[in-house]
Amino acid sequence: MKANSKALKPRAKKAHARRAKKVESHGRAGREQASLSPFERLLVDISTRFIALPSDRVDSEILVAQKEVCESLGIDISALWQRDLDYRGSLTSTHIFVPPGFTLAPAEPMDAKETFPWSMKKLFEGETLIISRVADLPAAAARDLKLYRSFGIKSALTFPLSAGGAPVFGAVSFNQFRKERTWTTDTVNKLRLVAQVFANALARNRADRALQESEARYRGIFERSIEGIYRLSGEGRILFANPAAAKILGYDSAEDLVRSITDAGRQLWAFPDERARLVRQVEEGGTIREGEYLFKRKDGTPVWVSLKTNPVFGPDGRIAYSDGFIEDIDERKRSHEALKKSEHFLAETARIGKVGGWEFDIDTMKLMWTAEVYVIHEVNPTYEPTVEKGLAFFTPGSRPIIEQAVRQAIEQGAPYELELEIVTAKGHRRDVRTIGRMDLAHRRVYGFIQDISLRKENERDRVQLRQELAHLARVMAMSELSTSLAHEINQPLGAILNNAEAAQILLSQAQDKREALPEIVADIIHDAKRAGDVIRRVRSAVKKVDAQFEPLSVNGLINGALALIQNSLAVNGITLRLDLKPDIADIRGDRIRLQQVLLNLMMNALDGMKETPSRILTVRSVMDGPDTVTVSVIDSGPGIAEAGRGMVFKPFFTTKKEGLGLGLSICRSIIEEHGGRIWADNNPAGGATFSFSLKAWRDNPILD
Amino acid sequence: MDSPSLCIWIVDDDLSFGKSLRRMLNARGILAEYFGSAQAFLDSVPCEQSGIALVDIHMPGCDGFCLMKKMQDLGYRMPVIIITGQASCDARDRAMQNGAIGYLQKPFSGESLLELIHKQQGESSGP
Repeated sequence: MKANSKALKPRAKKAHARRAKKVESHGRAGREQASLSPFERLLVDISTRFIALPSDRVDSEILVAQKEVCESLGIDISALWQRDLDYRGSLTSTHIFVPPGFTLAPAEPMDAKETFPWSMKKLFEGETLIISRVADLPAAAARDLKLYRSFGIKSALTFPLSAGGAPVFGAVSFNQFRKERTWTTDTVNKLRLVAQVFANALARNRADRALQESEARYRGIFERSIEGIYRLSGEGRILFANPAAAKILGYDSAEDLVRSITDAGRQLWAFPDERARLVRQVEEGGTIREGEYLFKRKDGTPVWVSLKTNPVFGPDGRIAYSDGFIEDIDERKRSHEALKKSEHFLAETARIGKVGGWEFDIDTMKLMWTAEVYVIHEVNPTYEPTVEKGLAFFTPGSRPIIEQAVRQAIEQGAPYELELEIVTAKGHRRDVRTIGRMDLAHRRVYGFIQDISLRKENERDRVQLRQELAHLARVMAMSELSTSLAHEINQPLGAILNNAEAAQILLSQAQDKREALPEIVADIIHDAKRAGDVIRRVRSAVKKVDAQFEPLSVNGLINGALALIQNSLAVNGITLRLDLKPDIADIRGDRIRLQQVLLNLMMNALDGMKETPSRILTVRSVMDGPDTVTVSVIDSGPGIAEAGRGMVFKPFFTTKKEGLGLGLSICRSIIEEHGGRIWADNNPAGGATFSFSLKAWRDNPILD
Repeated sequence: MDSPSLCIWIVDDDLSFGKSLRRMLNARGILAEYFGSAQAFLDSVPCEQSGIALVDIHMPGCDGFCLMKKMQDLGYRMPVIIITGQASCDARDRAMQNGAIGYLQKPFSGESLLELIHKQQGESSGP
């Protein structure tokens, strides 16, 4: 029990003094009390004292009244119990009277809900417990009885405390321990009045305290809320706000926010029109109470808030004030935007890269495709993929390969990456790159499929283009050559025709004029042979198309090529210098193609020297190490412009007005096809050197 | 029969062709001389000399066009017929622009050459 008997005495004395004074001041009441019994007078006195009693004096006045009542009626003890306001529902004694010289054990606080369970249950149901002999308590009250006995209580009269029909909040008991007492109806009724006086006074006090506590509680919620809360007047002035609102809106404190905002629409909203519109909608009966809006912080920076409003309308139908509940959703908004952006970005990437993802759950056997996979297979978005249906898209050639790969991925966790062909739902053939990975931890197989048709097509086109270019280059080389070859053939043909005509004329003349005939015929034969040689050379340059690797003498190749450009050398006034080492190892290669390289390099050299006064073509062959043969074509032209140095072997690089820029790129293809390399340099003394090196035959196993 | 005073001056680096052409013209009773290079011709034939020059285009050193230019510069009055082993409209046009009276592509028949020569003679000794 919370009661402390020592504290009772001095208070009781004071209360007596006060009472005496009060009786004097209420003279009229005093006169009426004369015809009443002493206890009735006491009852009136107590009731009078409790009228308009300040709440801070209720407790002490109850203690005084308890003492007075007990002494007046010869009752040993009075104890008052109240339910705690903390909602745990405990009942503790708050006011106790015991006669001087007695103490109540135990002294520690006690919860009557546990110690007097039966009694309390009855009391809270509104019953008054009139117990003249505790021994008469029913069996259900065994626990209560034990306690009564431990206190030595023999009789007990207990009233529930409640005011104005409100729930019972406590109890007041009057107990006898010196001897049993039979509670008369009169005593019960009189004490019930006392209990009611106590109940009324305490109820008022409790209500005040409850209000204070609830206010404190709500204030706590308000102050500590993460949600920003403020009340806005109809004109847009902030009436009050909590710290969270100030924080969200970037103000130093709630006071700062209240002081600063005189026009919420203009000061808080990034778009004041938006607020005006919202107010209008609400006033017109719209139900928009919640939305996401862009607000302004104190420093003017924007902040996204989720706003809930609870408007209160004035008699004019306009908003008198409204409570706003705001939440900072900037982060959410930003991450949402970022997510949307990254999703969009991914989708865009997938679309441009024509890459789709898929995932197969081993347990549920469910196959999931991303949007791009649908696009690649040309099926509509409602299509439901399965592994079987997915595999069926592959062409007969690709299907066994993918099936095995998928099986191995599932059974052995082996990843795969394949380039295969599918036929789409619309019947289009597509090249795809398909990648599969096993994810054992999540019991799934996942992968990617990419439409690489375009790349494949490009690759095919490139191979074709290269072949076409090689052919074109050969044709062009031949065309260039044919001009000089035609000249070479026409020359002997012309001579033959002249000689034949001369012979014909001589044959029609007298015998003595025919002595020149044998010489003429010999000349005809010589020129016919000359023409034949030219034809043979041309034929040998054109007839072979497929690469034919054979052992070749490099110097022989050089001489063969030189024979073809002899005429060009003469026509262009070029001095030829040969620097061919005799001990050059044979290489293995295609005669025509290598000759084409040599011709091309030589023709380039000739072209390069068209504008220069000194025209010297040097062709050199050397052993560059024990198994490398290097051939160089050196001219005395202007050399390669520094800017073009790295480019000369690239297709379509040209410095010639009429050139296609393919010659050197073809040369490079041919040399690389032979496992060699080709490069270009400028000579220190001027001009350019184009060289290629090839492995000597004996050390060129890759071509065997 | 052709005028005995007519002489054909052949300038061609191809010995075999030059020789055969001279032989063919001689067989037809036309005087012809052969030179292996432009310089040899210029050195041997004075500019006042009459006749017709048959000039090959492709020659090392001074080629056919070069020779025509030199002949004009030096005051040669004899007409020039260009002969070449290469078939090229470009060369033909260039020859005609430079004042050649004819252009023949090797191999050519004696008839076509004589036709050009006679045409030239007819024009120069005409009415």
